[in-house]
This record gives sequence, C-alpha cells and structure tokens, in this order.
Amino acid sequence: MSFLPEAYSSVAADIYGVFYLIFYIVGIWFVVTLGALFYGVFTSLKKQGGKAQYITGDDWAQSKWIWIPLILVFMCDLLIDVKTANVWTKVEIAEKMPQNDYDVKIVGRQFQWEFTYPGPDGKLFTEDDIQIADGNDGELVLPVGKITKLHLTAADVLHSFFVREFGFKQDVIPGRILTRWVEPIKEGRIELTCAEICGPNHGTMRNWVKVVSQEEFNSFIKNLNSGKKVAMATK
Amino acid sequence: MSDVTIERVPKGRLGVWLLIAGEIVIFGGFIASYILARLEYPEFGSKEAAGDLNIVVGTVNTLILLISNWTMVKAHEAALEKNVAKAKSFMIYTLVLGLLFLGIKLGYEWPTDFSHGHTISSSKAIADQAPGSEVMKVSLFWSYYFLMTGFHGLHIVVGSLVIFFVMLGISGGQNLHRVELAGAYWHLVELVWVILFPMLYLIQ
Amino acid sequence: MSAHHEQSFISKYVFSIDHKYIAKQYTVTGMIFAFIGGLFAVAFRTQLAWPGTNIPFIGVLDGMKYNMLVTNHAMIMFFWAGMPILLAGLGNFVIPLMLGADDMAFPKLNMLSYWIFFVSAVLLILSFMAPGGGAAGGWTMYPPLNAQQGVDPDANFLVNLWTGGSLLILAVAVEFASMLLGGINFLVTSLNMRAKGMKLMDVPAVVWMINLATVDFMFSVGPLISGAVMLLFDRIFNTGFYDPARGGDPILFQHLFWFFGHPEVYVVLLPAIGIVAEIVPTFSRKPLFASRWIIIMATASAFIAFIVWAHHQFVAGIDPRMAEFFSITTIIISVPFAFIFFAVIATMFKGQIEVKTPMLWALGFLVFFLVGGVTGIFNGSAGLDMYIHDTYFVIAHFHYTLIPAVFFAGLAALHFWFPKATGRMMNETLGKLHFWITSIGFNMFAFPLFFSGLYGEHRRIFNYSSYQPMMADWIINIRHVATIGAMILAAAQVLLFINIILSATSGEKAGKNPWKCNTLEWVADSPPPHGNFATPPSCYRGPYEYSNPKRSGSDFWPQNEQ
Repeated sequence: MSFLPEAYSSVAADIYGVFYLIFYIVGIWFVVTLGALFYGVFTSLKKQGGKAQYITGDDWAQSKWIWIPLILVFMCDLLIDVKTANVWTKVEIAEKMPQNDYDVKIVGRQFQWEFTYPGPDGKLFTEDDIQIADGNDGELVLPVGKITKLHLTAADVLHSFFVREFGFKQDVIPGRILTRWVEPIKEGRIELTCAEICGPNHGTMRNWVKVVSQEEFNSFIKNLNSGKKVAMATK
Repeated sequence: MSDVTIERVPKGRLGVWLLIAGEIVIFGGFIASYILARLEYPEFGSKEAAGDLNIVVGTVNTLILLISNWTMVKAHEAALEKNVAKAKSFMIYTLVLGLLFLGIKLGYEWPTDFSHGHTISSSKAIADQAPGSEVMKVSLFWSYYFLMTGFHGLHIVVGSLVIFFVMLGISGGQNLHRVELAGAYWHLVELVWVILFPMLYLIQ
Repeated sequence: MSAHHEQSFISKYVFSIDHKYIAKQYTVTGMIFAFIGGLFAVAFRTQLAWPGTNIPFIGVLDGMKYNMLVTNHAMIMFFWAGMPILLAGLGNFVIPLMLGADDMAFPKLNMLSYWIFFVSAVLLILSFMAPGGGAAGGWTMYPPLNAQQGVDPDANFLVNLWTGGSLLILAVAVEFASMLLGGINFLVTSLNMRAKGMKLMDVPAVVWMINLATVDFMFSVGPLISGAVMLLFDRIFNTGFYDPARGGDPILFQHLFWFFGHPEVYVVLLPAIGIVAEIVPTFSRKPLFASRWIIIMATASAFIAFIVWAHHQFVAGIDPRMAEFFSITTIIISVPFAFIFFAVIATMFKGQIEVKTPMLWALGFLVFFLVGGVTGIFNGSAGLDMYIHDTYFVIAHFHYTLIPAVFFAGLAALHFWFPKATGRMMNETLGKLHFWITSIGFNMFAFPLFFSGLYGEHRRIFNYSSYQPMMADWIINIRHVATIGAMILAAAQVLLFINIILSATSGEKAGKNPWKCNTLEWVADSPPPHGNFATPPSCYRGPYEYSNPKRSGSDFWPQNEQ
C-alpha cells in the first residue's frame, strides 16, 4: 500500500511490516465476518408464514460455530503479539540497541526544536557541546548508514519527536532524557514534527531532518567545531 | 417497599459499602501517587520533611480516632438493642472525639507546620533552588502531606455531619439501621487514617 | 403501592424522583451537549478543510481557539453526551423497568445525581466564559501543559480557579462524583430489586452490560478524581505534583488518567453492546445465541479493561518492557469481543428478521463497529503504534468505535424504547432516512482519515500549510471530503429532532408491547405511570425465549407469563 511514507530509517520497514501483517490478517477476518453478517441477514429476512428456528447456542453442536472461529482469532492474536513484540524490542529496548557511531541531543521547546552536537572532544553532555542555531533555522543533520543515538528531552512541556519517514515517534519529557537510535538509509530532507499537543502554536512546531552522506556530515561537524556558520546546501 | 422486591442484602448497607469501595479507590489514587514519589525520593524521610512531624501528637490523634470508632461500635450495638438514648450518647462521644481530632489537626499541627515554613505550595522557598535539589523534594512531601491530610479532614467533616444528622433522625426510635451505615462510613475514615499515619509520620 | 399520588409541578418536572423522568432529563441534556460538541467539530473541521474561513460566532480560528474546540469537543462528547445518554439515561430508564421494580433503590439519591451532573454541565459552560477562554490543552489534560496554560503563578488561587482549564477539571471531577452516586444506585437496584423469581441469568443482557460498565467506572474513576484534584492544586495552589522542575512527575498523571480512561471506553461500549443484544433477538424472533457465554465474556472483558491502560502511552516514555505486556493484554481483549460479535451474528441466522428502524440502527452498529474493532488491533500493537500514535489513523479508529456506540446503538435504543417512554411509535420513514444520511455522513467523515493517518498526518494541527507532505492534493481532498461528511452528519440530526417532536405529539399509539418483546418493561403501560407496574410482575424464565416450540400460538414468551 502506497499510503505509508517512504522508509528513511533501517527500522521503518520492520514497522511497516507489522502493519502489513495485521492488515492482511485483520482484512481477512473483516471480510469473512462482514460476509457472515450480511449472509445471515439476507437469508433470514422475514417471509410470509415463515418461522424462526429455536437455536439457543447452548450445546456444542451449535456453539462450535463460534468457538472454533474464536480459537482461530486467538491464534492470530498470538501471531500478531509475537511479531509486534519483536519489532518493539528491536527499536525500543535499550539493551538491544546496537553500538552507536554518533550522539545528538534534541530538545523540544515551545515551539521549536533545538539540536546539540558534541564539541571537539566528541562527547555529549560536556562543556564544549555545540547547540546549533536557535529557533527553527538550524536543522538536524544525520549521516546516512551510520547509527546515531538520539538523546531526547524537553525544556517546558511534553512534546513528541516524530519523523514520519523514520517510522516512529517518541514523546519528550522535561526533566528526563530518553534515548532512541536511528540509522538513516537514504539521503534527503524530511520533516520533523511535534506530535503531542504543546500549546497554541503546536501546529507550527516543525523542523527538518537532513540525512547527508558521510563526507558532508564530516564537513558539517568540522564547520561546527571551528565555529563557522552552518551552511548546508539545501536540496 | 411493596412485595415487588426481594430484599437480599439490605439496600442501605449495600449502598454504603459501594460508596466506601469508591472512596477507597479515590484515596488509592493519592496513596499510590505518594508511594511512587516516596520510593523515588528518600528525602521524604528527612528531618525537614517527615522528620518535622510530631509523632507524639500524631499518635494521640490516631488513638482518638480509634476510640471514636469504638464508641461508634457501641452506638451501633445500642441501636441494635433499640436503646435510643444510649445510641445517641455514644454518637455524641464519637462526634466530640472527631472534632477533637480535627481541632488538634487544624488548631495545633497545621499551624506548627506553617510556623516551620511548610505550606502546600512552597514555591517561594524553592524559587531560587536548582532543579532536583533536596528542598524541592521536601516541598513535594509537604504538598502531599497537606493534600492527603486535608482530604482526610474533609472526610472527618462529612462523616461527622452524617453522624449528626443520623443522630437527629433516630430521636423517635425510627431509622435505627442508619446508625450502622454512618458507622460503616466512620470506619472508612478511620481506616484511611490508619494507612496515612505510618506513611506520613512513621517512615522516616 | 403508594405510587400514583399527586405531584406538584416542581416535583414532577424539575426535582423529579421518578427514574423514567430522570432518564429523560439525562438523555435530553446529553443530546443538547452532543449537538454542541458536534457543532464544535464542524467548526474545526471547516478550519482544517478551508483554513482561515470566518466561522459564524467563532471567527477565524487561531491555534488557541482550534485547540480549545478540539479539547472541548472530546470532553463534551465523552463525558456530557456519551456517559449521560448511554449509562445514566439508558440505565435509569431500563434497569427498574426490566427488573420489574417500581423505581430505583434510592430515588432521592438518583435525583441528586442528576442535579450534581447539571452543576458539572454549568461549570463546563462557565469554563468557556472564563478569561482566556476554555481549556485548550487536549482532552487528556496532560501536565505540565495543562498545569500551566492560563495560570499566573503569582495570582491568588481564585484568579487561577477562574480559568478555563481549572473550571474544566472541576467540572469533570464533579461529573464523576455524580456518576459515582448514580452507579451505586444502579448496582444496588440490580442486586436487590429484581422481580420475584428473577435469577441473575434471567436479567436481560443490557442490564448486565450497564452494571458491568458501572463496575468498570466505579473502580477506575477514583485515581482520576485524585489525579484531577492534584492537577487542580498544581494550577491553583502552585504545588508541583506534576512539575518535573519541582520533583513532580508528569507521567504519573498519564497513568492516573488512562487507568480510568481505558475502562471508560468500555463504560460507553458495553451498554451499546447490551442494546444490540436486546434488539437483534427481538427483531430476529430468535433467542440470543449463547446468551450465558455473552455475559461471561463481557464480564471477562470488563476485568481485562483494567490491565490495558498503558497502551495509550506506548510512546510516552514508559518502560518499554511494560509496553510489551500492555500490548499483549490489549490484543487479547479482542477475544471476548470477537465472541460477543460472533454470537450476535449467529443470533440472526435462520431467524425471521424484520428490519424496523431500531434493527437498522443495531445493524449499523455491528457493521461500523467492526471497522473500529479491527483497526484497534493496529493501535494496540506497540510495534506499529509508535508510528500511528497521535495520527488521524487513531482519530478514525476511535470515531469508528464511539460513533457506532453512542450514535448508532444509542439511536437504536431511542427508537426501541421511545414507544415505552412516550406511548407513541416513532416515524419509520423519517427514522430510516435519518439512518441512511447519518451513515453516509459518518463514513464520509471518518473513513478517509484512515488513509491520511497512515500517511502520517498528525492530529491537533490547526493549519497544515507549514507541512509540505500534508499539503499533497489527495490529502487536501481527504480533508474536504471529511469536513463535508461531518457537516452531513451534523445536519442529519435535524431529521431526528423533527422525528422526535412529530412522533411524541402525533405518532401512532404504541400499546403496551409494540415489538412483541419478552422483557418486563413491556408489561407496564406505555408510558408507565409513577411506580411503573399495576401489579408487581413475577419472572419465570430468561428474556430471550423467542420461537420456543413449547409455546404454542405466539413466537414470544414474556418473562412474566407462566
């Protein structure tokens, strides 16, 4: 189905996979149930002199017609549970997180996103961290094919870090730093939005994620460390 | 009631028990929130927080409430014997003890806490504090303390009013079953305090 | 029975203690609020489809006004329309009648419940008039935003109380207190005042479901009442329960909210299923299939409802391992509902179905709720929810559960019990026309949103023009279609209004039992007098003995006939 956005992260395909699995299982059940419903109604409409059958559904011979489908529903549920738990574990459980190459701190603030990169020492949360441009003019730059650890937090109220093409979102909470990881698989410029209501201008809290090649990223970091104004060619 | 209905459990008793169940869940929300904060912040037990509460006064108050429950049980027994005068006098004892509890709480304990600089919102004291400092967590303790003791005090007031009106209503010897209902509610008020007391005062 | 005594105007029409009249008070209040909530929806949908439109009485929406409308739309539809109609209104009407009782167990408490509810409605309306307008922080009231918005920390507590956010929190807390008292009445009446001979399994499914809903409500609402009080104190007394800068925890509120919030969904849904479980056997002339198991499964789902709440918080920053547990329980809850669904469908097989208006609405519920039910699996699955959470997919999903429950099942109930309540039949032609237009409007509005939601359109955005992907032609078209659908849905309700007025004044006289139904309410006169039954009925059998071969001469067997 083409309604899902193009995948830009290594996990998006897995997440979409959950969608397709559920879609097909649930789609079949939907069609079958709706078919049974309409069949039941249209074959049982009132006829002149007709008489309804007295079926209570209390014995197995009758109730097996719903118990057997129910067991099938239960088995489908388990299948979905397993698949969704696998994807969830891969994306969210901290111990399963792959070794990361880069770190970046992302702060949600009414009504903008701020990004902080490690300074010359290469470590985040030290004195020389560099926050790029205040407001919405500084964009989040990530290298393609490398794993970046996102340190997410908020300055005032709840926000939610949501990049459609990455396939996931994460609420950001003031006073707490949550970590997620992303491995972009495609270069390009995609939208970063806030998906948790955060005040009157929630609707305008938008920024960009720019996925660039390794060389471009290296020069971006170099410029950042040498204090030059961030100048990236917009595509 | 006509013979339409088959009385299983007397409906008044059933109604009050359901009300008590609902109240327990409301208090459960406060208590669970407090426990979560308490587990996270050992500072709640520090000298400026729980340590600044007067355990002796708290214990006296607990005893007062326990005795008031005993007098309420006696009032119920008297009501079962249809002894209106005895039931009324025990209900008056209960009321006096309930008001004594409130008097100590509002007349002595809270003013003492206020004089030590504790209020439900200690925002002025913590305005210049760094996030995560001990003063802030202590102030959170006092917010919970005033919230929960205040909410419990409100229940003492409501429970006392109920007992008072039930007492007026049984004068002619009718409606004696209401003594049991008022008593059941009063036991809830006691039960909540018995949970709050160790949580707020004793765990330091 | 001292039932037929004279009543003054005030005690008959205002402070009535008659359960049927209180039911009407709840229902009418709920319908008025549903209409207000619907107009709010039309207003903000208009802004979405045609940004910058000058909307009558409201003006051009900015972010604040837009947030205010969506916040209060949800609040009104859930707490001032869904609950009063489906729980309080329906419960008050059917419980004593179906049990063969003369009134509720505590009629005065019942009156008090309604008037406390009325106070909450007044508080809600006052919240719009407060300085700065109504609450605008989302209906879930998440702090820290909702602990701050409109609050001046240096002002005294009365100033902060007189703000939209504080008044709304107060209104919600008062409303819950009212429903709590009403719920006590329901449970005591159902346990204590059943007709002679009526065993628990002879109690009709709808009464069972309303009581299960009540239990769900009473045992889940406590934490939210305490949570709401703490949020109110954060606003007016400047406490820091939810303020991370002062040691508080914003996620705590989410747990307190959703511990209630999820059972609350079943509070609305279970009565709706109960309504359908009454109407389908009546119009199919067949017993409710495996009725005993339907009750058992509904009870199971009412209990599982207490351990699924965190599926609303998968992406909120809770422990990921916890999310896996809640994902499993959420998907498993589909099993009892699948059973009930299959059983209701099986009830229709080999029956003699007559599609009168109540049956049409019930069938509408089944078809549309199925869409809502199966899409719930997508949201309940944590691995996918991290993408579709807070998108229009979720919006479409819960409108496909709540509109079938509140509108379709609620209107099925209205058409079904209207003859009993007023003594006159509702107009079939108008009713069917209303059904079809409502269905078209509803599906036009809700179905396309699944697609824009899948594309990642996120909710509560007053103007999408700053989002390039969201300005694609097909998404804009979806917004237009959805908005026109919502307008049709709202406009269609005029037909309902006309139908109610026409039928109540000049409808065909109904007689005692127009649908040839088994349950005890049809033994009473239409409308039943104060005190309900001339002679107290006794109960000899279950409520679904239709077309029983042991009964000769008629295809139904009322519970009170030997």
